[in-house]
Amino acid sequence: MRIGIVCPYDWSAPGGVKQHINDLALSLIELGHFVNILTPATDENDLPDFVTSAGTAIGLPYNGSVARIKFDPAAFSRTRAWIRKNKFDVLHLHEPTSPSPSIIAAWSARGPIVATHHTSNQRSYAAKNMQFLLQPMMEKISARIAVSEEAKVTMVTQMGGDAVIIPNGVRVADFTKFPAKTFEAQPFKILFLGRMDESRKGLKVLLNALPKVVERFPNIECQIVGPGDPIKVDQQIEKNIKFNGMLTSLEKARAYAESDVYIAPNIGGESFGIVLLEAMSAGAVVLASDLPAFKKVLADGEAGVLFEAGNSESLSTELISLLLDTERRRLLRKQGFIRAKEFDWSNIVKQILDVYASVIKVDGDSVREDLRGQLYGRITRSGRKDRKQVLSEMTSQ
Amino acid sequence: MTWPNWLWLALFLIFFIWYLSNLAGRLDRLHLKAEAAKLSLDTQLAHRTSAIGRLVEKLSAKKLVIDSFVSAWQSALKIESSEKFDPSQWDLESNLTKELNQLFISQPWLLTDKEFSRLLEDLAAACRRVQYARAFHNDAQSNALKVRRRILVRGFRLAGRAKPPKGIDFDDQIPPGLVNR
Repeated sequence: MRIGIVCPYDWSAPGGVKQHINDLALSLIELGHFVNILTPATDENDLPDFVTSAGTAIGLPYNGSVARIKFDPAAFSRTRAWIRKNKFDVLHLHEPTSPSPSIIAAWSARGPIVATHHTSNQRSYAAKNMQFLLQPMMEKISARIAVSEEAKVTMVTQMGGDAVIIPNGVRVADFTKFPAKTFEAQPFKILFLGRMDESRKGLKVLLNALPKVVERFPNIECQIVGPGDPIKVDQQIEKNIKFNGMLTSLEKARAYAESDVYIAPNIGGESFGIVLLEAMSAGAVVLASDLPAFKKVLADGEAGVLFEAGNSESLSTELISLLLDTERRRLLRKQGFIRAKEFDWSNIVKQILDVYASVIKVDGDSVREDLRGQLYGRITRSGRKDRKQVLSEMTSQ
Repeated sequence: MTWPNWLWLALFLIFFIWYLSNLAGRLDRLHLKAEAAKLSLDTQLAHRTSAIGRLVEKLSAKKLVIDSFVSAWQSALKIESSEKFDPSQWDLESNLTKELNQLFISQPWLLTDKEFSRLLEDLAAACRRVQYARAFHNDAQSNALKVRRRILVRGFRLAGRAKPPKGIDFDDQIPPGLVNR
């Protein structure tokens, strides 16, 4: 099958959606499919061969974080050329409502189009009220996927309709390359991952909780990994904290494996929690805030420990009791790994292929350029097809 | 210089007609999408029935014939291969789903038997596709209905003679043993 995937955010910057798309593409390629990804990219020289650049991206605040996206005239022509050249059987857009190549692709293509919604965001009035502008594009999409119940609710309130839920996946094998830390080894190590300058990642909550933890375990090591400038921290906990910039995925796998507890203190805006699954694959015990998405991934606390979101007190209490209880951590590591396996891409990709299969028959032909609404298309009428002709093509399949 | 009133009126009329024609075009595409989704659902149902057929074959080769299961499969097969649409089709599909569920409850060894693993994997995929295709159809159908209900669409009969697409409701649950396969 020839599959075209459109990534809305910068390929050169790390992020959940980009990660999802990368892993999806790798899993599809492993199964023998042809995949090409269209994405904005700041660094065009360093792209894998299945990735096509739509140009450089600019930073825009979106959904409480800074999304690096792309939306300008050059992107239009690149997107159209990409669609013409590759003759895909199915086009898979991600975040189709964000101002990005995804919207441009929805605008310039017709045929079997699948879209995945990642965001869960309750307060976007703009998205809700601008919906009528997106209507013609959104109606071309034949199948919509949401990565979680929360993402689906957000999508439905913004634009109505329905979506099937296919969760995010994790490539478990990528994270089992390093042996997990033994439970007794000192000092204890904890890990935080995420942009430091983004308040919804909850780094503040963790930093406020640390003094209490350091009191109990003076040697504890807290590794903070992610882009952004290191924040000033209290002197009391300064020696326990190690800041790290961005890590490669291999270094990340090692960081997970070397830590006792992975902490996800996010305070909102998460629709899934792929990092939790990564940490669990590598053998780290997860301590996460009780956001609905995290609760679901952790099977209500069976595969990891939950604390009250935004509450540093609750975080420090849970962390201390977890570090003191080796037996509990042993059990959680085992449960976490079993849970992560359920979300392995080898399982998830099958469901995505089933979605492709159920829409490919719909139009009976491959993805092509949509000339409707274009001056050229209006004049030549080559963009339009007679209704009867389309239906007879479909039934003759 | 002011424009005469009739020019304003003409401009408004032109815009209004353009809008109506756009709306009619959009409605047409929505109908087409729902129709196409229905065709896709039919295809996926046929795939499921044939996957179940292979299971029936294999079971009967092992001298295991469950009458209610086989007859549910046969009636689904008959109705799908007939040209005419029969409204009882959805009941028969529901019944087939129910019998399939029942089969794995009464014969749980099937789920772990190596000989059946390939077959069950295909069957699981077919069941998932039916579920997806039905969801996508009903989404397209309700989308078309929503536009059909608009006052301009009704007033100017923009839907023409196209019949309103019907929602499709039947039991498409995947047997618990086949989830994640």
